[in-house]
Amino acid sequence: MTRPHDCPAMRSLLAELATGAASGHERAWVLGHVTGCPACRAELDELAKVADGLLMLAPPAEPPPEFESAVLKRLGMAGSRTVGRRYSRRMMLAVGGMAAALLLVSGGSATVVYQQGETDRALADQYRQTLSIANGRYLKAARLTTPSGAQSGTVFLYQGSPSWLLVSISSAPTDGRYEIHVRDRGGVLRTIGACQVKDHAGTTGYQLDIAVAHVAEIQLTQNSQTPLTATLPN
Amino acid sequence: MGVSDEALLAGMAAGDPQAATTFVRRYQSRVYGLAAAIVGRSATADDVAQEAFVRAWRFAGGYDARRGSVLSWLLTIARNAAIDTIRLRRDQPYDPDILLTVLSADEASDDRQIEQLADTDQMRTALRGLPREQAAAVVLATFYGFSAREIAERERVPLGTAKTRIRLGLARLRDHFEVSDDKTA
Ligand SMILES: [Zn+2]
Repeated sequence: MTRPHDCPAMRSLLAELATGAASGHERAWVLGHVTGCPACRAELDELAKVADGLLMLAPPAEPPPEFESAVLKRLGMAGSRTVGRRYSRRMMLAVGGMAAALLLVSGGSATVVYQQGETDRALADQYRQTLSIANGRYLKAARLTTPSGAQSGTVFLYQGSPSWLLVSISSAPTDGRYEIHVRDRGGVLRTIGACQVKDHAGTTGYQLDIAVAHVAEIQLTQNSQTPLTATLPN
Repeated sequence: MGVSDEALLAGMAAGDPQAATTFVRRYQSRVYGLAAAIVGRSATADDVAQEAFVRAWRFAGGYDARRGSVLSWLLTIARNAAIDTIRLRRDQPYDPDILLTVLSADEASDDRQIEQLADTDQMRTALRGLPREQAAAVVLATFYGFSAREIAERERVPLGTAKTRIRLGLARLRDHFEVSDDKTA
C-alpha cells in the first residue's frame, strides 16, 4: 500500500499537516500515506516537532486567582479526597481514554478515521505521535486489591524511555509507609520504592528498569505483610 | 525534584486530587500564557486554559514520553482548545504580526530546565530570521489553525504561494535547528 511516487506530492503537505494547515481530506490522505512510508513518517515527525516547538515561545502569564480551583472543579476533584464510587467512575473514564489510545496503535496500518473538530484534531495528533514509534505506545492499568479482593487503588505501567510505574491508592486498609515490589515473569521480586499513605490515600511514581511486558505483579507490603497486590494480564 | 510530570499526569488521569493540583500549579502559567497569546487576555483565555487541562486529563493515555515533554504535549492540547474556540468566532481580527512580536520578545524568567530554555532560544532566533511572510504563514497555521486557503485569503496571495510559504518557513526553522545541533555536537 506504500506508493513511493506519492512522496514528492507529500513533501509540501507534510508541512501543512505538521502546522495544522492541511484540510480534512488532505490530512486523511497524508496520514494514509505515512502509514506505509517510513521516510515521509520521519519527515512528518521532525516537522511536527518544529511546529510544536513554536508553541513554547508563548510567554507565560498568570491566570486569574480562582483558576486552579475552577479546573479541579471541572475534573470533579474539588474539595475533599476522591474515594469510593466517584473515584471508580473517574477511573473508568481514564482507563477508557487509555484503551482508546491503544486501539489507535493496534489499528495502525488500517484506515484513518476522520471526524470533525476537536476529536479529529486530537485523533490526528495521537495518530501522528503513534506513527513515530516503531512498536506503538504501551500502557497498562491494573486494580490494586486487598487479599479479600476489595479495590484499594490502581497501578499504571507505562512503556517508554524511561518506563515508569504509578501507584495510586484511594482506600488503603491502613495508613503509613508501603514498600513497592515488582515481580517479573521469571518470578524475581525486587523492591523499587515506597509509597506514603495518609487518610487511606497516596500517590507515587517510579521509573521501571524492566519492560512493562515482563511485569507480572506489583506488591505493596507493610511490615512484611502483603496487604495489596495488582496482577498484570499477559 | 519531586514527582515527575509523567507520574503527575497519570495520577491526574486516575482521579488523584493531589497529583492534579500539583500538575495544574506546575503548568497553569504556560497554558494560560499560550491561550492568551492566541485568543487575547480575557475570560475566553481562562475558559480555553481550563478546557486544556480537562482534555489533558481525558487524553492522558495519549501522551508519549518518547515523543516530547509533557509541557510540549500540553501546549498542543491548549492550542487545539484555543483553535476550537476561535473557529466559532471567525469575525475576530487575528493579526499574525502582533503574535510574532509577542513570540519574538526576549523572555528571560523561566524556571524550566536549561536544555528546554536553550531550545526555546534557538527557536526564537530562528523565527526572527524568517522572512515576515513565511513567519506569518507558519504562525497563522500553528497558532490560529488557519488552513492554507485561509492564509491565502488573509494575506491576499494565491493558494500555491501560501502553501509554499508554510513549507519554506517550516523547513527553514528546522534547518536552523539542525545547524545549531551540529555546532554544539
Ligand atoms: Zn512517502
